[in-house]
Amino acid sequence: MALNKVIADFFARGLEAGAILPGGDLLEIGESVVVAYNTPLDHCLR
Amino acid sequence: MNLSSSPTIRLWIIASVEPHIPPARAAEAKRRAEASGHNKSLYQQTFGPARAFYDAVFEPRVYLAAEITPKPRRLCIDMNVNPVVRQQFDYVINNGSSEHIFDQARTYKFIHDATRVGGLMFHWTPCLGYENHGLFNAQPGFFFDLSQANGYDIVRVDLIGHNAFCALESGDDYRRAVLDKSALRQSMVCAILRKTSDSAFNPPIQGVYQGADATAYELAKVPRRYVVDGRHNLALGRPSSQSSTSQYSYDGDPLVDAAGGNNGIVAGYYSFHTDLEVNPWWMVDLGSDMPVREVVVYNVLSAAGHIAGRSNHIRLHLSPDGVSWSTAYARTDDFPFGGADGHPLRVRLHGQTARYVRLDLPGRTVLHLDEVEVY
Repeated sequence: MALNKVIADFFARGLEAGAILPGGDLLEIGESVVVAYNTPLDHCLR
Repeated sequence: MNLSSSPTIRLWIIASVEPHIPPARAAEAKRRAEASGHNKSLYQQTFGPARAFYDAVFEPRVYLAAEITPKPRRLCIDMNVNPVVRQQFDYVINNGSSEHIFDQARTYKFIHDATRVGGLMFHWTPCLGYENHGLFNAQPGFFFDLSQANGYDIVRVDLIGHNAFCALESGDDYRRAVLDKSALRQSMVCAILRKTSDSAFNPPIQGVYQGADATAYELAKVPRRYVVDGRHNLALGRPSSQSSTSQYSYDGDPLVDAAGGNNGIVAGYYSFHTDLEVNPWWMVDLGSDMPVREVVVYNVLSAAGHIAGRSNHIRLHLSPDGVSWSTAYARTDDFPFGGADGHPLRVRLHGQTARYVRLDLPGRTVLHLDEVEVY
């Protein structure tokens, strides 16, 4: 699925909670793409 | 957090979106949107990989993307064909991908195995209202059950719809969420889970039976014992059988009823039950000759001592072929041994080779146990 504002917000809440520290190793399963900031969630399906 | 001014979102806009909008493409999108009377076509534009966003959020030392199709500098994996984990990561992101993969067990096992102890698993996947997206939609309680089975710390689980979200406390909590915010009737479930140990992956049992079926709920809370103290349970899930069934059995087929005795669940209840007969037995086929160093037998835990006491004089037999047997142990104590209370019967052997392991009782009685493990 594509990444829009509401998903970005979700990661922001993870940052805010202090759960995400810099310098780690990251694996992305299913390479996502960025779509316009206000794209409705149902348009993020791909 | 004011997201419109947050560094994360600013970086997202600056690093990911703006440089990736080819002016001609944007102009064409705008023209089409105006011609069609709405701007849906503009929404469907994509502005490049999400990596720039993830780089901004995580500042990773190492970044890797896994895809099913071969691409340069990508990890090519088909989760349906037993993916091998070659390295572990601090952060593993399920990018709305798992719902497209048929083998859910291998997918979530891969994510578990690919995450370092202490690392985080991020999931965002469709939940409510996405009737024809992917092969599966996760239920609101899925990540709670997954966490229960694997001892994950739940950092947060959110139900997320367009311009609305609600933090969930449990799977059933979605009812309150959709009542409070109708936008969540079409929503994704997003979870941040922390792996807390290097225990092997444990498939969850659905916990929704709470209240409706207390036994199933209790079972859901009990982690199954695939690997115990670093040792593999040779009996787990192997074909097993028993001498008979009774009205107390879970299934009239002795092969089916016997399977409860080596399903990896230690819960304090009997998992199989023979009839009242002379020398009732239960046995498991390890598949090939294996050195047997220990057999652990979990008794039923019952306030009625005579029920647990039925197994006082249990015997253990080993066989290479299921025909010729040698008795490796015979218990003579007249008090019951335990089980899920932490005091199972541990029969230590010397690595005798056997393919078949059988337990039986002398005399006319019934055999019912909670679980049998072979190491």
